[in-house]
Amino acid sequence: MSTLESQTIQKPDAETKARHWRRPHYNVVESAEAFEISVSVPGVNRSGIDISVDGDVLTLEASRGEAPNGWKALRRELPQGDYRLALKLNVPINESAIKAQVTDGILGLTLPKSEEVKPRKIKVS
Amino acid sequence: MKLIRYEYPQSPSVSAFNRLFDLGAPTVERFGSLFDDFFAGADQPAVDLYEDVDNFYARLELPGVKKDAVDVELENSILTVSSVVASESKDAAKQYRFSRSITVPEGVAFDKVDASLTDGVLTVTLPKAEARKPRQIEIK
Repeated sequence: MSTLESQTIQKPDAETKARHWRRPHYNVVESAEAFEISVSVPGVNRSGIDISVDGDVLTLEASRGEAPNGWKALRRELPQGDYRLALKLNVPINESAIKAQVTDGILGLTLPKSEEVKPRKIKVS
Repeated sequence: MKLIRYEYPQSPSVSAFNRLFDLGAPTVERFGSLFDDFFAGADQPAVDLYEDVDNFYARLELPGVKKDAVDVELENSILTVSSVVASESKDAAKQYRFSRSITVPEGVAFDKVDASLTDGVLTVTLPKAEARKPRQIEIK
């Protein structure tokens, strides 16, 4: 079960108007220690990814680059634009220990829960 | 301007129906998955088709698909990309399959077709046959 909620964040700045954004598909799996998020970002390599945490909002932006020069589109079915995903975190996470790696167009994000929300065993003495 | 015939996939599945909604609005997010949720079956990924001087290029987004799992086939000028993707997690093994066919533009050198998969994007390069390339003709 996911305790993360997605949220569309409207930023009416000039940059958003100039670029097209597309919301990637994503999946969240919760374990005792962390949230594992996998985001589909086909066409994106390591250098094109930008992840930031601002307060309780995790923002992911990934650019996939344009088709090579000289390519003329005969037909386009794929949605265009770069990826942007904003997730609202309603569980405190350990921001400094966030891990991310991208393989075959899937971005894997590990958000470790912060110590205070991890389950604890209490010994009866 | 030269028109190139482009045909819809051969299997008349639900996804072809979905694609009706894409016509004329390629930049709008696809309605497609809406219907796929109701009708299970082989999914048909979207294809972009490009051209430059030497080649045609077909591009498909296949995130998370391994190179070995993809099957690219060319038969009677129909290009078919298909795969069975198995994903395993701790408590469940999932499998899904997809297949997409497009009609290859005329004048492709079939023996030189090449495919590569990088960052989850499959690019099939379809070289144009020599006779179809634009040529400079020298005046004697």
